Amino acid sequence: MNAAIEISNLKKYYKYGIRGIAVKALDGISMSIGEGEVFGLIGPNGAGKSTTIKIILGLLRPNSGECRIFGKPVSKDAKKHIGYLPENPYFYKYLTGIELVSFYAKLCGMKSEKATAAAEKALDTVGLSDAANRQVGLYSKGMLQRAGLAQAIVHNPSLVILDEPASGLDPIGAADMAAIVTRLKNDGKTVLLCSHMMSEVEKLCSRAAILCSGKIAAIGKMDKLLEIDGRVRLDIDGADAKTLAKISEFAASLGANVVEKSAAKISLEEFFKRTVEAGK
Amino acid sequence: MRNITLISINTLHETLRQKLMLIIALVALALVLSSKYLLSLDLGHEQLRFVFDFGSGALGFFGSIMAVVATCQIFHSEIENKTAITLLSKPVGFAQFAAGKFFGAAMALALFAFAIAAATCAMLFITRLGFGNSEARLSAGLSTNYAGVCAFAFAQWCKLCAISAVSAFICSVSSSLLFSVIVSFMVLAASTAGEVTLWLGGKSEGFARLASYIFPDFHVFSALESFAFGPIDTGQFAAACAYAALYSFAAVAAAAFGSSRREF
Ligand SMILES: Nc1ncnc2c1ncn2[C@@H]1O[C@H](COP(=O)(O)OP(=O)(O)OP(=O)(O)O)[C@@H](O)[C@H]1O
Ligand SMILES: [Mg+2]
Repeated sequence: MNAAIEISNLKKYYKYGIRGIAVKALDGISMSIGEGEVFGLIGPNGAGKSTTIKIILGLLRPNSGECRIFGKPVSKDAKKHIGYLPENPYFYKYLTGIELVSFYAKLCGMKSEKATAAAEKALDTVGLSDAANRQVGLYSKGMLQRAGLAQAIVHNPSLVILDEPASGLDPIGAADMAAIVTRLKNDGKTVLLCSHMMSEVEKLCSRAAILCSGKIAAIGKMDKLLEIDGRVRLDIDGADAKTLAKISEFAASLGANVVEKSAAKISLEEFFKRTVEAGK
Repeated sequence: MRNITLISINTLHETLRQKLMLIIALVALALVLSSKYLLSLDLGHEQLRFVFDFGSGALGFFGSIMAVVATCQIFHSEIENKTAITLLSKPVGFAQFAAGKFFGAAMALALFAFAIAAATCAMLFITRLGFGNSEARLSAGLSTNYAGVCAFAFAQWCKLCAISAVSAFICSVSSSLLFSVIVSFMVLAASTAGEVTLWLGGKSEGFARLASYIFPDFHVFSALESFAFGPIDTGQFAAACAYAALYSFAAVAAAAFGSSRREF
């Protein structure tokens, strides 16, 4: 597997104030994200996630270390193949949704008509076609987030970097977002997903890293990271208390222990979605 | 090149929506148009020159303010609203970014210069019509060169672009809108002071000479006012425009470098 993003020993200090006091934002991180992989980058506020992403895009210069995209240092040309959704995206307020997205498409080298068609398609994908002719300044937060996503995928990039894509989205929007990521993955694109929604990262990502105070605290395959050694879970239907007791006994007779017992539940997210669907 | 065009057109939209610019343009235009009514203060035979001075004053004074404020606003809104981050995540270089923003401002200034020039020409024409029978006495032998007025306005536009380019450079290295505006006006004041000194017959020696290399030297533009009522001196005109173009190019290149050193 080729590496889409390769980061080695990245360090970044921010200087502020007249005396130039430095904040250590990244303290020597190294990782490699393979082509076609959905990679999750998680961590507490201020851990350095957005900083890492900005360095990958060449918006910030690291103090030391190196970052390569598809084997090359970031360049103007490499950016043609990258789509980026910034955290809290803001856009030119007076443009309409369609003008905005096609402006970005044109910047990526698309011809005028092709850009408009691509923009329409991208807006449709993120569920904004109804608002396409409204000014972006009148969008709600979630709609801005969707427009940001449309702008990130409009030029069909092979690497998509999403910084907190679900912030401000309603659960249906978040599910749409997840569906888009899944589709990108099926199309063989690489996705770097940075998020505070753990359930989302867990579902979507094949690998993840946890960043903590500018250092990588854990990195690896999602399944491996979350596995509890030697434990399995069974969901059992139609068993009353007596049956369960018997099952426990039987397990014990085989030398295995039932460690935890609780009613199986759907997630609140799932419940919300079903309720809203039913109410429509 | 295409990206520069795209960005500058986008920037022009943005500038035209800034109501402040509209107000400055309207005030300047109103001043030019109202010169007609001020003329009832019977200025004798200086009428035509008076109308022209009004127009050129509006262009120079309000144009400079507009060049500084619009350029600073264009750059800082891009950075403060974080739209620059999205823009630069696309295949857009820092030089394209700076040039696109600068050309957007230049186009807005061109609209402004064109409006003032058109209004001035119209006023000169109307004033002349009003002379009636006493034309010979009132015009004092001056005949208006409308092409000259336009050439003058064009050269003034070039000068405004140079001011705008200097502001662009200042913005590319500063972190606040207020700082950029104040420093830009200080540079403007320094070069205007230099212009006035030279105009009054001061020598360009020592410090003044050094300053004229760093700060734009606008004294070449003041001479062009004679175009309005005389022949166009092509050499002088070309020299002034070329000076402004070179100065703008250097300042935009510096702005591109400044943006590339900046962190977003
Ligand atoms: N422009 C800046 N100047 C100074 N310090 C900064 C700047 N940007 C970020 N920092 C600091 O760098 C550290 C990492 O910030 P970063 O934005 O990368 O965090 P994050 O992981 O994205 O957090 P969040 O989850 O809140 O988005 C923080 O301590 C922050 O204070
Ligand atoms: Mg962040």
